[in-house]
Amino acid sequence: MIIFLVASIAIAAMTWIAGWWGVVLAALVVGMVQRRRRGIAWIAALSAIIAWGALLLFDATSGRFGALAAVLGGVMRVPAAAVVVVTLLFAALLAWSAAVVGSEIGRAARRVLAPDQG
Amino acid sequence: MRALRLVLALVVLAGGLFIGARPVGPAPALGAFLEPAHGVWSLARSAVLRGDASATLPGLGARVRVVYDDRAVPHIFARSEADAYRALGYVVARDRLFQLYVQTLAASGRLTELGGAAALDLDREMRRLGLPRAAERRMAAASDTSEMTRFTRAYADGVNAYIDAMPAAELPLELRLLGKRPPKWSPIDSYLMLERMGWTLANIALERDRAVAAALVGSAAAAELFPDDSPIQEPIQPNGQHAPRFDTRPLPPPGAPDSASAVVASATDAWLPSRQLARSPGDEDPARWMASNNWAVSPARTANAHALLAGDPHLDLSLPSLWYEAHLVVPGTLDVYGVTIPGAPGIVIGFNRDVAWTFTNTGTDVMDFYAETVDDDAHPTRYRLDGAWRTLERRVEPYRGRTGETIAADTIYYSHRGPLQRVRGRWLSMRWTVLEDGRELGGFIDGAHARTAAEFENAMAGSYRAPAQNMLAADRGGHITIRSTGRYPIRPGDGSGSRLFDGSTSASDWTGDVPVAQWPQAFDPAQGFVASANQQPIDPSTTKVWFGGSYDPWRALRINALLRADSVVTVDDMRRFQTDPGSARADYFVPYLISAGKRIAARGTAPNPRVLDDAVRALARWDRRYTLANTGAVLYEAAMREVAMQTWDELAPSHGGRRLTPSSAVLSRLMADSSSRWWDDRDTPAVEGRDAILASAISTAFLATRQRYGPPDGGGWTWSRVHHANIHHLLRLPALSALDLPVTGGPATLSPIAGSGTHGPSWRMVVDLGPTVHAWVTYPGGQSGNPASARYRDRISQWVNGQLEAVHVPAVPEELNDAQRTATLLLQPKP
Repeated sequence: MIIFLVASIAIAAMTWIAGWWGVVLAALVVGMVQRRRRGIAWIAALSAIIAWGALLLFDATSGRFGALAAVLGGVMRVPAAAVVVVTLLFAALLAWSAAVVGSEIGRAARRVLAPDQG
Repeated sequence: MRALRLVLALVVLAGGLFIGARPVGPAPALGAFLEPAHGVWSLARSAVLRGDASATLPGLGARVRVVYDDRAVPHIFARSEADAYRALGYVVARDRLFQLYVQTLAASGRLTELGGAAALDLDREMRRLGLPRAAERRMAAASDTSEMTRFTRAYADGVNAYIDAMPAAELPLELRLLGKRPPKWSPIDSYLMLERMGWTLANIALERDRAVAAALVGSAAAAELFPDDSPIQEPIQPNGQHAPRFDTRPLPPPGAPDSASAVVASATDAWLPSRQLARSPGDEDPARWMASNNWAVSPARTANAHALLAGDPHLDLSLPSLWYEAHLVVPGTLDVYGVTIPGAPGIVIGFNRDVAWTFTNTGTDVMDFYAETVDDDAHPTRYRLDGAWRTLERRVEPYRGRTGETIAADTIYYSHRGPLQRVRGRWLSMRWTVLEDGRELGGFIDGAHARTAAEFENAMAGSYRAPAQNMLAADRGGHITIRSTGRYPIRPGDGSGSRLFDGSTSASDWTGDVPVAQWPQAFDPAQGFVASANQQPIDPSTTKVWFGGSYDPWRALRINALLRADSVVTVDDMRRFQTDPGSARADYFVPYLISAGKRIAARGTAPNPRVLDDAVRALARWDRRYTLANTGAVLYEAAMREVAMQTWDELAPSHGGRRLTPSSAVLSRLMADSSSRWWDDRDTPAVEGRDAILASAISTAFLATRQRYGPPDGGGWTWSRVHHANIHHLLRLPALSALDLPVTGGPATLSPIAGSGTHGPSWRMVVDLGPTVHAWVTYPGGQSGNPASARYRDRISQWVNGQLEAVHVPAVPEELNDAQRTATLLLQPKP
């Protein structure tokens, strides 16, 4: 549970600071650091959904989120909810893939730096 | 398995990074777009104005307080006018940044930077007309120390201060979709915007349609079908008559084609606005749908004994709206309320504490063409004038694509008259008041200070040149005035501008301007009201000055009839008149249609007596009003299109091209001549007269309407189901537009929404000039350019229903109570 919390906060904070690249960077780091944890990529993906979901919630509570979603859905000719889903899915895919790559980089680095410990 | 997962992850990551960082097809780069902190979702936050915001503005002399009222109108309280205009630039950019951007691209012929090669024709139209060059020259000619220059720069500084400090969350949706950042605003963009208005309103050249017609039916007939002067005279400057004057002289019959005119026709078409080339057969010239109305009533004819003024300019409808409402207060100096065009440092239409003003388009032909002789037909460098060669100015116009690449380049040549174009082997130059000197922006700035209606007119006369406007004003002293203000060139010979001039001699050139005293005008006329509705401004029988142009008399007939009939006009009457559903055009033609149908039926010569009888009955039942529930207007409009098609068959080009339709005012002249040769349908062996054509037209229209909309009593003929206003977003995105809006009014009513429904009443205002000035307004849109904002289109339902709402005009911020005040913005000088 802690890992979800930490990863979500990291992704949200990195997004606020670095934009969407923050998801990739945060997930890479999470993947590298937690490379031994089973299912870390899925944890990163879910954390990205939570992080971006929280940021969307912030937008929603401080503005006209529903109206905007309807406008975006109209422009893209899809239901408003689909735009939200695409947004969260985009973050999840980035986080999942970055975490997988991060964990492999972490393993490879570990092998190079400490070959005995694999 | 791990390797496979890694490969999959790399592919997904690479794909995610690619679509995240780069636009794919029409989609923007998704990363920055979807990201919820600064991306498109953050627009939800900026859709609500912050209750208490502040910003620093370079160049500001003192603090400026902006208070937004419950209609999202900014009230700008500044200590100097320069600061007020600087703040205006800031708040306009805050609400309408994308509009500023796209309008500038359109006016400067740079839409290809957004739309690529697809926008090339539109851009070429602007460049070949010479609009960007004219804006540059106007700005260069303006004195550095003039208020106009200083305030235009201050306005630009305000726009740029907003752009420079704009939070990421406020980047407009459209710019995100296009993957663009807003460029810096330059003072020249304000000049460009005015040039664009000139293109919209003053691109009128009688010689074009006349030349096309002459090539088909000869010059004599063409001159009467597309006349300099309207066949129906109800002029703006009262002519001493109390009723309109109809020209009932027979039209000359079709004559032999004038082959020389064909060359002129095709050549002048090169300068024709694209919207005119796109019109459907049977449609009147779109310039005649450019309807605007204004009128003012003197205290002697109003219920409250105050002067009342109504403003109702009709323009292209768009979202965001062309207009932005604002109030500027500089204590002791300036207190002006009204609408500005985003990009213009000034209130264009509005009022101050003493005077109210509004405009309609004058429509006089101020665009002339000259046949030039050049030294080299393919690559000219000089043109012949008075027996000597003069050097042509050469200007290369590059067109950039979306990424800045050059996608085309044109070389535009200029004589001392204006731009040249080569069409079908002939070089023509064009001279146009819109391209020449003028201080229109200065006029708006000066006019805002007027203390009387006469002062306002004189301020505008001193600086305003093009596009010529019927400027109507009223003041608290009870005075009402109107003047057709603009530059009217004096041409050689009979003064007419509706012919092709010989460019090889300077004797063809304009010799001066018509003096102000000879402009159409009226100050406190005995009739007790002044009104204009794009009719001919002055009766040609009362002036020696040529005011030929494209005029529509029908709405003037209607508004004058309403005003003559009401000697105790109220504010609500003024509002009601703006959406009056009556039509003088229908009142004129319907009796002819019914009588013709009855006569043909009585003669027993109708091909389908039953249909004719049904059509006549339906027209006779119609009350000639274009109300939402009306079921007769649809048949009448179809009949009028059919009458035009069948009557003017001589004007159908044999090899395609533009089909001309003379105005319904010209058709009214034909009505008096039942056996004119124009009635004859050339495709039949019989010789038709007026009654046969009118009866045929209503029968055909009845069948077509029934086929399209079902039986007359089936509900399909209901005006609200047939006739709509369409307010397109500037990018024509349907989701951001307001489409298929049922509206009262139709062609030739005071509130016409014609053709595709994209043109109509763009701002409605009624001002009561009592001891304290009160005003009621609306426009089809909203103050915010953010489509997610509640203020994006909040006024549309009000506009559709013909309602107005009272405005707040606080002299100091404290006059707005808490309920009326929704947000404040404090602008501070940059230390």
